[in-house]
Amino acid sequence: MVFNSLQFLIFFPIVVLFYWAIPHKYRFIWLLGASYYFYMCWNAQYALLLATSTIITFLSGYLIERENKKNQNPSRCIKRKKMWVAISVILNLSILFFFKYSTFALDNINLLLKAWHIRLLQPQFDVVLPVGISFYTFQALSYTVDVYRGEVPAERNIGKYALFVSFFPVLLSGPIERSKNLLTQIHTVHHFRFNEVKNGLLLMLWGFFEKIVIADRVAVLVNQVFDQYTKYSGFSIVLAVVLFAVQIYCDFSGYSDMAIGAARVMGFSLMQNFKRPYFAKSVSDFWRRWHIALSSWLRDYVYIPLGGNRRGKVRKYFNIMVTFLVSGLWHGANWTYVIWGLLHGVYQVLGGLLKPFRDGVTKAFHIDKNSFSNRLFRILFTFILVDFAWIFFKAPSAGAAFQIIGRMFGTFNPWVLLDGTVYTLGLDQKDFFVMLFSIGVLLLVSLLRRNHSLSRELDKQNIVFRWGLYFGAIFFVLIFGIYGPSFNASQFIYFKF
Amino acid sequence: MNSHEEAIRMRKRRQQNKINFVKTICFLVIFCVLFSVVNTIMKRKTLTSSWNMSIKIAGLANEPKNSMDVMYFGSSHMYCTINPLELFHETGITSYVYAMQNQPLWSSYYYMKEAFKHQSPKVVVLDVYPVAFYNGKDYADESVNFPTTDEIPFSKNKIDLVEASVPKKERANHYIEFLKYHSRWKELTNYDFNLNYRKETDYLKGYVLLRDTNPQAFDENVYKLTGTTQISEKNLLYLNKIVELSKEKNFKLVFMVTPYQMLEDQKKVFNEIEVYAKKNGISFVDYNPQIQKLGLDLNADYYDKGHVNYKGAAKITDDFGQFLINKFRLADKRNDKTYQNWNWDYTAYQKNIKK
Repeated sequence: MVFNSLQFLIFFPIVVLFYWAIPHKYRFIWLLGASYYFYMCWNAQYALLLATSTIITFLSGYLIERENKKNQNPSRCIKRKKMWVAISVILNLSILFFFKYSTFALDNINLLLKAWHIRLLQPQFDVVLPVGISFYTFQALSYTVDVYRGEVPAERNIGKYALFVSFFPVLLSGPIERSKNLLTQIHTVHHFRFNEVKNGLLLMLWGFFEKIVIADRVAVLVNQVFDQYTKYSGFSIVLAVVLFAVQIYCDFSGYSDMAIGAARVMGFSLMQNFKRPYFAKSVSDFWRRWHIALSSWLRDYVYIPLGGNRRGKVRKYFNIMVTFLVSGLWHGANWTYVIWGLLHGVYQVLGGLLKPFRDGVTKAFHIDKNSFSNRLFRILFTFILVDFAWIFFKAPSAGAAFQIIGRMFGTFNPWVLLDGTVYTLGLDQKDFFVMLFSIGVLLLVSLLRRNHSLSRELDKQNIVFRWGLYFGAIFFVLIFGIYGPSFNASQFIYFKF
Repeated sequence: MNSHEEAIRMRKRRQQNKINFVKTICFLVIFCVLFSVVNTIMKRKTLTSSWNMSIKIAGLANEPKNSMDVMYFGSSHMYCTINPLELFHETGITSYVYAMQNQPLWSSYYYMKEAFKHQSPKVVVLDVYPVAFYNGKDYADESVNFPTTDEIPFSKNKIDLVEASVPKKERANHYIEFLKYHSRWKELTNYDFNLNYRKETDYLKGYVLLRDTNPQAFDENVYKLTGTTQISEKNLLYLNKIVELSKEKNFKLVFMVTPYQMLEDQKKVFNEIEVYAKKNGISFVDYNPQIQKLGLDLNADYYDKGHVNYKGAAKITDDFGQFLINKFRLADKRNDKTYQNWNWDYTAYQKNIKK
């Protein structure tokens, strides 16, 4: 079940009403049941995988903590604790690898075998990728490591722990929560707060706007250009590439906002996942603002364990490259994601290497680093770098990505933006207008949110204005959202008989 | 903090909770009102041309209760062939066509049930063309299903209608039409903002008036074909249901085949239906072999190969009126003052066709 489905529109109010109606003691059971139901709507069997990961990490936490209580010498204790961590990590990653990467690995091994004229391996299983597996696996793994590091105590209640791993708002697409935040909140008694519920619902509405009005609308154009890239060139592709940046942001951030909002309705406070990423002034800044849950996860559990920046520059750059390689692979089992990840790594390594030079230039030309123009250029430059990397993320294959880039730079045809060609890319003039208007709203809200809490500002306004805005927003999303079977008047036109 | 302050705080909180509760209810009520308005605007509706089906279907509920002696159900064959105003003018029998383009039998069954909420006709005429058209199929496509379900107000009967007519995966779109029609925002016209169309009545009583004439050349050999084809399972199920309904509601059934260019396979199904009708004591009227008797002119009385125009309809209606009079005792209401407006509507119709 996804958030933008009719099922969820029925599921969610029922879950919330019962949740607030029953005593705290039973709420985790209710939410656990709801979360598993939520997951099983997609595929009932794969709930077993979720349960397996839950049990492995739960046990690992328990066993690690038991080592602390044993009377044994510290080095042996650490050794044994490390063993439990290793077992948990290996088991979880094996499941993840099998379901997510085995086909990819097999294809690549076969490519090598073919080159050496060795008989190819036949795939033994037809693997379907379990939805959300990358998210909940990382979430569960962080628990093992956090217990090992002594940052959180091992959980005693397997039901509550299972809810931590399967909490339905974050189950499919994050934000990947840490036990320190979410597990603690599962224990806390939540009191019904009208304002929190309202703000949660408003955030969900905003998420719906981003997802079904903007992302799904922009996707029509982007998909058409990327799927049939041989038909397009120059500025048509530039437009699609820029819009893909909008699409992926609205898609993901919208989904995160729905998750955060849904959790807030039930009194949970989840981490912020996106912080106006396209206003980043450097690529590393971008990663502090984009999918923060994942980048902080990678920082805490990959980059820092590798040594972070404490072991000299060369090692730091190596660590960055490894971290972004992992990030790329996490996003999908395809070379396009690998290249995308590595590209982000390269950006940052190059940025680091060129820093003395950049500083020299700023100094020589007396550039005020904090001037508006300087910030603007840095933001634009960062956006161009990030957006260029998105081409690899979106393209169906690495080869296609290079062709798309070739076709984009190969033709100079700015007139396509003016002569009506843009309306032939999948969105007609009216849809295109709705898209631009919505992106304008998005931009405005992003800018306003920089210095203000919009929900607090709204509370200051009178009720007519507020309700007008709520109803306006709800019906805007309902009418202009892309959902349901498409209406095609011609389907009915002759249908007189 | 002393207990007095605590008590005040508690009281304040309780009061705030009450206010919030009332606010929530108000919000939901306003939302529902707005939604129903927006839903009506976005909904696909046909309010103009001969095929103002939205008014024909929704309008039945606005006719005086139990005012129809005869009702017709089925497909376009039905709504183009029998003209209730002509019938009234000739015989004084009141009737209404409650049919929809290409409507399958299972939908017609629930259309009957819907109609019986307002009317209790003594005779029900069923166009059996859809039985032949959909023989072997379980569902019509959505260009039939949406118009069929759109104007039926939400009720148990609508749920049954949708369940019978629409494949499982698509049903939600018929319970909440907004899922489909919200994307019509691009093509809204001033007609879409007519929020009161469901309160209107159709002066033609469900009849679709076709003026154009297109000469036809029919293969009359088809009508002479013998031999039968089995009626498929779903069709048979609903034929049986309709027969049961006729007993329960105490009306007489007439199966009708209107004159059109039929296919051989279809003729064989009709032969089987004729057998079925005989077995169940149902009148079976096939107008195809009677073209000459009716005086139908292939060059003047047809709209296309499937439908007669208004001239053809008048000829068939006159004949059918005689059939109704001979077969069933139905009152002549021409001089009944309650039905005076039928005469006015007939005059309006006459004016309309002379335009």
